[in-house]
Amino acid sequence: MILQRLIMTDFRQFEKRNQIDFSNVDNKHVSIVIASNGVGKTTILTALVWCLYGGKKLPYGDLTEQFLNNNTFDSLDEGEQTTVEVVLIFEDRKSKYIITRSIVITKENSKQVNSSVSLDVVIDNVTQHYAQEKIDTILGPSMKEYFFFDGEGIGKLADSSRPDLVQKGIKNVMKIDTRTTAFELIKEAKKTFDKESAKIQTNSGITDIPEERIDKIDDQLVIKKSALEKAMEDRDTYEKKLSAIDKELILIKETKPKVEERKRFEDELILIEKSLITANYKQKDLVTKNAYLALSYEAFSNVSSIIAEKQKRGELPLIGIGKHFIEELMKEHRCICGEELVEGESHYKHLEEIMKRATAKSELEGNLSSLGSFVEAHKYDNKDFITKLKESRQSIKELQNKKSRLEQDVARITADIDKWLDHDKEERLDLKRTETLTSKDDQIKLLAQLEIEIEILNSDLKKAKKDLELSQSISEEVSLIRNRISFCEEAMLMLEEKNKEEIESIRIELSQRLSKRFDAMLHSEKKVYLDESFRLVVVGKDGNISGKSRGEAKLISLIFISTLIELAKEKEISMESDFLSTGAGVYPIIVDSPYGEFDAVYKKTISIALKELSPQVIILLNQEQWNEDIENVFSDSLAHAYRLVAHRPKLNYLKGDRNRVFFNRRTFDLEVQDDREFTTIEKLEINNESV
Amino acid sequence: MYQKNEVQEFIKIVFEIIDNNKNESNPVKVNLIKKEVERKVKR
Repeated sequence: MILQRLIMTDFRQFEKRNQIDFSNVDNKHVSIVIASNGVGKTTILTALVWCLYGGKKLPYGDLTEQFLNNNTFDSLDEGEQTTVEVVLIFEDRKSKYIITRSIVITKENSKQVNSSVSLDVVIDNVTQHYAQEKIDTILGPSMKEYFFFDGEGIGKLADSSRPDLVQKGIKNVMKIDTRTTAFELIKEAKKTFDKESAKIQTNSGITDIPEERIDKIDDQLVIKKSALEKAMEDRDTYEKKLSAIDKELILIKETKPKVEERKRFEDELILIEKSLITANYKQKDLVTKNAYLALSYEAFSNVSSIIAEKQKRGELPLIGIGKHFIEELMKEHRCICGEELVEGESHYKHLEEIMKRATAKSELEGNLSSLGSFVEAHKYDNKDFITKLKESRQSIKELQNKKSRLEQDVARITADIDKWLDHDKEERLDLKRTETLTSKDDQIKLLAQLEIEIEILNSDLKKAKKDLELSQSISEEVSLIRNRISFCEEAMLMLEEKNKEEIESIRIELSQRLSKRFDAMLHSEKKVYLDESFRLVVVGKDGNISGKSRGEAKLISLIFISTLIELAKEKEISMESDFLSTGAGVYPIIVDSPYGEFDAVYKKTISIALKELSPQVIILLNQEQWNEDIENVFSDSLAHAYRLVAHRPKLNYLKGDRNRVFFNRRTFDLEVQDDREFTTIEKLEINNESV
Repeated sequence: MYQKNEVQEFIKIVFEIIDNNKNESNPVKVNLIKKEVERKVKR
């Protein structure tokens, strides 16, 4: 940044348009403005600062009450408006900047009323939208204190209690702030990635590891499915048991009527037995009534032959045929008679008597013959008897068969009854049935429960698988974002390290250069350096830190600034070669009243320091501070020289003399008599050859 | 870990972004830097 021109219109003392050029000429970079105190030096500094930064409370002048030149104000009618304007033209990195800051002033009740301030920034003939930001980018407000000095303020950099100013100065001038800005912006970008990553994970709703969840669900499914299978088996088992129980219960049910049936059968049996007894009795009666006749009729020949045979074998007693004999016959079934035949009936007795009486064969034969006669005599109908007997026997047989069947039925039914109508069997079965049914129901319930659980698990599994897919895609996304975050972190680390490294290397370099310059200027035994805490330190010949005089402080500050600017300039030149260089600036130094009350030697030394301060130096000073020695110091670098001429009704005299300045072997007035009071800027001719 | 020159190149671009967008707000610059990171670190 090289200032070229300042144009002030009705700005405080400067009535109408006043212009002052600062541009470097023929490699000469120093401009001086000489004026008496109170005429407008500080106003020029104020105009520069106001033009660049605006505001009302400025370090070098309070603009809250008065912007407008008094004469111009007086010329205004009540309520009339006018504009105060400061234009600064400068060049920065080969671009031409025209900064115009103006304020509209209205005369109200004989007072200046300030209204809207406007700012225009034109860069290379293009009006800029963000005017103030454009200025701040080149020379931010934080840089004010390093480039616009009032006389007293210069020394503050050397104040041991303000290493922060030095450090801030280094950062600002060396544009390390750009790197810090880059660091902060990358940090912000990193934060947005952090947020994105967190948002993706939160939005997905996945808070666990889906793979683990799937495994867990799979395990649970295996358990549940096996439980389901077992429950199904159990249910089937219970069903079978139940069916068996039901069958038994049906049998019991079916058996119950059999008791009645058995009773019926038993009753029937009794009847049959009774019938049988009756039938037997009837048959017996039939036989007893007819047996002898039947025997006689039927078995006569038969009996005769048997008798004969027996007699032959000597088995038959010769006398009589006894009961025994008849019985034997019947046993051998040679006679149709049954045993009933032989029970003491009268006919038999009669026959027995006949037998008894037969003591001889002839007698027997005779008896038998008489037997035949007897049968004949009784008109016995054998056929009728046989038929009746057959019928009787048939009837008895049927009754017996029936009885036998009934007995079998009764036995069978009884077996069933005994088996099924055990008095608590049904109860036990009922109990067992209830228990089995309960168990079966339990299994059914368990099955339903398990089916629901399996369904839920399957649905969970489905979701887990979806989550897995999602998490895989998310994890890719998150991993990408993490990579971006770590990329940002690496860049931040690199910037931080570079900053630290650079600030430290700048400190060391500055310290060395400071020391050399200080030596070269003062040829003092004292040494100056910038310590690790960024304090500008003066060390005496004994090696101890010594205090600084005001002059030393001012000088050290100036040397520090100039050294810093020198470094910045070198850095700007070398930035192309360094990837991390952010490009330092080239700045003008504007110093108001730098010399104070110092002696001639110091003034000269400070002048030398001032000259070397920056690629552009603008010094505002009063005529007392200006002398030939100083003029000689600046002779080879002076580009512009001005005097401020105070116009006033009554001239001030300084030490009995008019306010004048001796410049280029000539004397110039610094005040002229005038009706009105204002200041004009007059150019002082520079004759390089003669200076 | 990224190649040093990749990071350096990125920082250079960040400087350019800062330089070319002096009039823009910080969020705008952050967004541009973010896009640059996204361009550098791809899937």
